[in-house]
Amino acid sequence: MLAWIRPRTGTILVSVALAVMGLALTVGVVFAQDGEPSAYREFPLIGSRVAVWIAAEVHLMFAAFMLGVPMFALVVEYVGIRTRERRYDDLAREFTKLILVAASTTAAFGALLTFLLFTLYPNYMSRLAEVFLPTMILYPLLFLAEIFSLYLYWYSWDRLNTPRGKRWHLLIGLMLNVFGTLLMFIANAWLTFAISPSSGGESLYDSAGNFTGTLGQAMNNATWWPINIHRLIANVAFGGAVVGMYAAMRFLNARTQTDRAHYDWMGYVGNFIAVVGLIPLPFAGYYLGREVYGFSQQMGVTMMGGFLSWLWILQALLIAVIFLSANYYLWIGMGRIEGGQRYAGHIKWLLAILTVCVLVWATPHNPVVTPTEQALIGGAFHPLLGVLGVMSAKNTAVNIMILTTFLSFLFYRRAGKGDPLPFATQGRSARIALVVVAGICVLLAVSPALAVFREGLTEFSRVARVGLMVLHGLVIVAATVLTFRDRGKFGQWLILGSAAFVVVFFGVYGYFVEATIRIGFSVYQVLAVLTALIAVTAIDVFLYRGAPSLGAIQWGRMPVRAQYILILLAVTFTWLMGLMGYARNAIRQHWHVYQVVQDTSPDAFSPTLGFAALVISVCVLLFLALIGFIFWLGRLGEQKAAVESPPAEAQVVSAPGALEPGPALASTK
Amino acid sequence: MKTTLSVSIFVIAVVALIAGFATLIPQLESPAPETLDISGELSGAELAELGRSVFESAEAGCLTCHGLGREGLRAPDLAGIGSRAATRAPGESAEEYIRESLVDPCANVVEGYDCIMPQTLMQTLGPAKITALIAFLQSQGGEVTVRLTAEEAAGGTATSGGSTGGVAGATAEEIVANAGCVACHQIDAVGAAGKIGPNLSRVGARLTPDEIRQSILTPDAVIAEKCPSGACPPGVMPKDFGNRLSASQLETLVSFLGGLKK
Repeated sequence: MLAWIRPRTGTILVSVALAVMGLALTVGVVFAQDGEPSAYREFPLIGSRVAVWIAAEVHLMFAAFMLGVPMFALVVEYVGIRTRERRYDDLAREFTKLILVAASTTAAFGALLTFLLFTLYPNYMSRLAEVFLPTMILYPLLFLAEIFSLYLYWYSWDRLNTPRGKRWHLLIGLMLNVFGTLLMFIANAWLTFAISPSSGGESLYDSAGNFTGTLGQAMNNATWWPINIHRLIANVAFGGAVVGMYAAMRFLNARTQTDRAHYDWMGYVGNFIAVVGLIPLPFAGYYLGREVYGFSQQMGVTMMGGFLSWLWILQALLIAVIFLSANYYLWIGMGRIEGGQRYAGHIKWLLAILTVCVLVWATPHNPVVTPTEQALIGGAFHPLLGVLGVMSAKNTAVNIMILTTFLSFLFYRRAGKGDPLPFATQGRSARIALVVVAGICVLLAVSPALAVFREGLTEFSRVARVGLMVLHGLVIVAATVLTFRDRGKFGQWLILGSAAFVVVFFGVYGYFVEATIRIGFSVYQVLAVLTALIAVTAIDVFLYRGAPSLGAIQWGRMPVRAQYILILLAVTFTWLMGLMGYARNAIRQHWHVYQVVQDTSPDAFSPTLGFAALVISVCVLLFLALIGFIFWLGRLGEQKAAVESPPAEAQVVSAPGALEPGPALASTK
Repeated sequence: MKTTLSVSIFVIAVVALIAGFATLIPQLESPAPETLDISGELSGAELAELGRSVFESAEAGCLTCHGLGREGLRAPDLAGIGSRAATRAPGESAEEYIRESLVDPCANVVEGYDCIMPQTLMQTLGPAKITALIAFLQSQGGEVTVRLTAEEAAGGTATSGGSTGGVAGATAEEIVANAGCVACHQIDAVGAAGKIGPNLSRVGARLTPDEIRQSILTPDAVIAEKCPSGACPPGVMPKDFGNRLSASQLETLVSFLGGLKK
């Protein structure tokens, strides 16, 4: 009955053993507190902090990959079922294969991290276990459930490859994602509790340091949901970037045009997923930042204006590399599409806008400077550039960057398509769908403004908020009507123009109002951009459905430099993830649990960015080396299978698909 | 193999570039607060030795103004204070005088100097460190008579950040008074005449609300050039207002100070 799982039995057993060991260790330490354990133990050579840091970061990188990839594997499989196109099913299967081989390493680093934490920081872990014990027992069990559902998902692929069976297979995939997400939420509760041990504005400790809250309150602490949301999105983007790197490596090593075509397509999909995940990340980041400030202004200031202030300049640089790489990849990609040259002239303008936005975003605001530097600058802020360092300018820059990246994608999407068909040919369902999407967008855009309206239009800033957002909503309605009258492209430009206007208006107006009002402006900028992305995409889908093709996409005709861009994207994403891990922990400064459990170890100080950069670099290289090795091992198995059963001859052709036209390929199981 | 090598070199180069940039920008470290084990039965000499650590710490900031064996920048040389202290104020022992000078510095100001010393030292350091500080100052030419009280001796490890309690009050005037701003700053609107920090009577005319907020939350990010008694000393203003003030209190304070333009 279970013969089909035999090849991986060893891996399963290893994962199970590691999970059980983690569980035993947790329970053992928690129930063995009668003695007086040392507060800290020293790890040889590199010290306890660096040892835990590396184990945690590499585990997180693997875990992010393991959580992100199943999400889009499931979506791609669903697309394959809906379109009845085999290549999507094959792609989903290839994605799953990547996480399958990475699962054991994720578990191994998780177990290593658990061992290190409980042995090197026993008192702290004991304090944490007092609050989170039930979840610490649940965690390994959920991990087992995730591993079992992963193997079930993988090994039942052929067995459930029937119309009825596919539903069950999707359900297993869904369970895999649910277990993975729950695992992440639990781990997030532990780490966010250490950052913000308060819930609903109330501290969860009394003045004597005794925990006074409940497990539910501890989990639902001030920064739990912002981190959950941020990580969920970031995992998808990170997973997409790593898949893109995998595809790039396979492309570079491919010996046949068929393979190049397949991995070119896979790389495109990976980049697409990374960009889709990247776009909402700044919004999620602002939400997290707002909650950090809400919990403790001091922590917020430490994060943005204290000793961590220079970190955000580095972050801006990394995000700039990611945005520019993702756009550049799309621009190169247009070269393999007949008709793509129509948009070549726009690229220089897109690049110019992105460059200006990057420079604004990277302008320091209030970094800690020495008196000498202050004297050189001529004050706390640069007399000319200081004005660009404030949040008004930065919010505007990031929103314009997102709109520009979206425009690149839009050009790419329609590069190979001719003029749209009359909208009447799209049928009634298209009309209804567009009306629904437009309605949702209008509601999204207008609802916060309506709340302001109800409170009264007592000052100009209120009138501006209500007026502009209502106007933006009306533009979306007008664009929908224009689409019905075959002027959809003009409607799209109207929406994008309206969003850009809202963003720039609130960006400039932000200089003339108090900070408390200015902070609220970012909500309207975000909503204008988000609604524009949704509405324009919806219009574009129906506008170009069935539009004549200008020629086949030449999958595989991508230059080598495009593959290096995919690799650059993945490396930068990984490094950025490491940097954000440092930021998240460094804001606690010398506290294990902020303001409650003090770090009295020799490592209580927060290290410099330079030192952090070295540790992060080690983590990044370790992760990339390990995952490269794991992928190589997976490929060895694939080659063996290919020798035993040569694949059928594949054709490189284009066909319309839900994600993007891709090559039809033989199965790559 | 060649491709793998090229990609590996590329990856290492990218990582090295990023790490290199990170090491080129200013390197700031956030130090842990100094922790002193001031507890148990300590002799006068032991207590004085611990007091030296407090005296030299940035947390106490004594050397920002005082000298030890040399004239201080703004305050008296404390060499020999142990022998002088008993004669400084009638009816006060050396220990009593030094304690008073630490917790209520304006009660007895040395002739020729202004009262610019922070009046929040007890709040900042806590009783055990204050006692250790007294012992150290007594040891400068005198006999160490002070000892830890039973409560202090049982107190265990003394760390910084004693003043983490909230600030009472909702109006700007209440917040200014309860947060202790008046001890150091001159603010005409509330009748405050502190002379340690910058005069804030017209602060709204020279600083934006953002800059005022930054000055409250991160006082050392930008140090004002002029204070009533000379150059403004860094490290004196407490750095914990971000925790002690609620968001609305902070905004009330920023709004109040921002409005002081005339």
